[in-house]
Amino acid sequence: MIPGDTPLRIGEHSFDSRLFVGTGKYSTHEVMREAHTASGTQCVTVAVRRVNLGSGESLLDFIDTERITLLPNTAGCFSADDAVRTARLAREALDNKLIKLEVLADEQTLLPEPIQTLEATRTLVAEGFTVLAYTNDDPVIARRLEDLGAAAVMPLGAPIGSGLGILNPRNILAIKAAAQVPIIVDAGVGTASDVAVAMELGVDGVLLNTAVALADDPVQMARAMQHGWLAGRAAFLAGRMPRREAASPSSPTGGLIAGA
Amino acid sequence: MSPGHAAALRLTLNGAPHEAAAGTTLAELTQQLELTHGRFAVEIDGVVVPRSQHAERTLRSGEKIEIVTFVGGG
Repeated sequence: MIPGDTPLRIGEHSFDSRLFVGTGKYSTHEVMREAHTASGTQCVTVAVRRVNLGSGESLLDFIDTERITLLPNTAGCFSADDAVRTARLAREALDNKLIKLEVLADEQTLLPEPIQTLEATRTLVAEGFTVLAYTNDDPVIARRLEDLGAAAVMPLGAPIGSGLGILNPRNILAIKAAAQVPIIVDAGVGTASDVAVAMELGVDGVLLNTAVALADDPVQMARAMQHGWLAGRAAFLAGRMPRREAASPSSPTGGLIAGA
Repeated sequence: MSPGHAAALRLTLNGAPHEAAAGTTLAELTQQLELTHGRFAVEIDGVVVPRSQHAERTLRSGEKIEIVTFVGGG
């Protein structure tokens, strides 16, 4: 944690690290584990799927759950009903009320389906879930999700897995400005500077997966992501200088030996 | 259990046909499937069955059982 900063609180949970990392697409479970350690994350996402009967290795054996909180997602759901079912199963399996709610519109764009997401949020909040709602970078939907009781709102930086960075920083700023709950930029991060850019906007955290998992060296990229969020957060807390249209010298203009 | 056994339960397990002996409980089924580690959850006909009820929950023919665990995701 950065001096002068406070932990990020979501529901009953408190995190010193503001970086959330996924567990998908790694070449091996060992690489994933090393990347998680290098990233300093305290919360990782996991997906809910049918058990593969007869298979040995379990993903969870490679996550240090003493130190890292599991955040189950509803990835792969295209309706509120499926997302709610998935969330209930996740809660039963983990005895944990956290859920990353993700209801997508279609398999091509992988964009969030706002109406279904709102509906599922309403149901899950009523059932006592701590809902982290994945959404478009739409300030109006973000506000509605908060009104419905989402514990955190997670606007996308860019489409899932695209690595395009923060495409609409002004919308992210507008979402953050209006929110009382934590805002976590989720999806679209490609590299460490994208994380820094998001954090400089003042959001409360960043969630990423592919940018680390598909880097040539995922462990090195995970380390970079940690530096990225720390740099961006510190810069936000520091308060950047105003932008100027013209140059302004950094060194005194008086006392020069030349031209005296 | 051989197919066609008079007393067999015909279940759907994770989308595929599955047979079990009559009177099999959910706890017995998960043991037979060697689901020994704790991180899984079971739904029968769309409703989660809490772990505390697995031992007494007797399975019935025609039930659709989903057993899920966690895999990598973002």
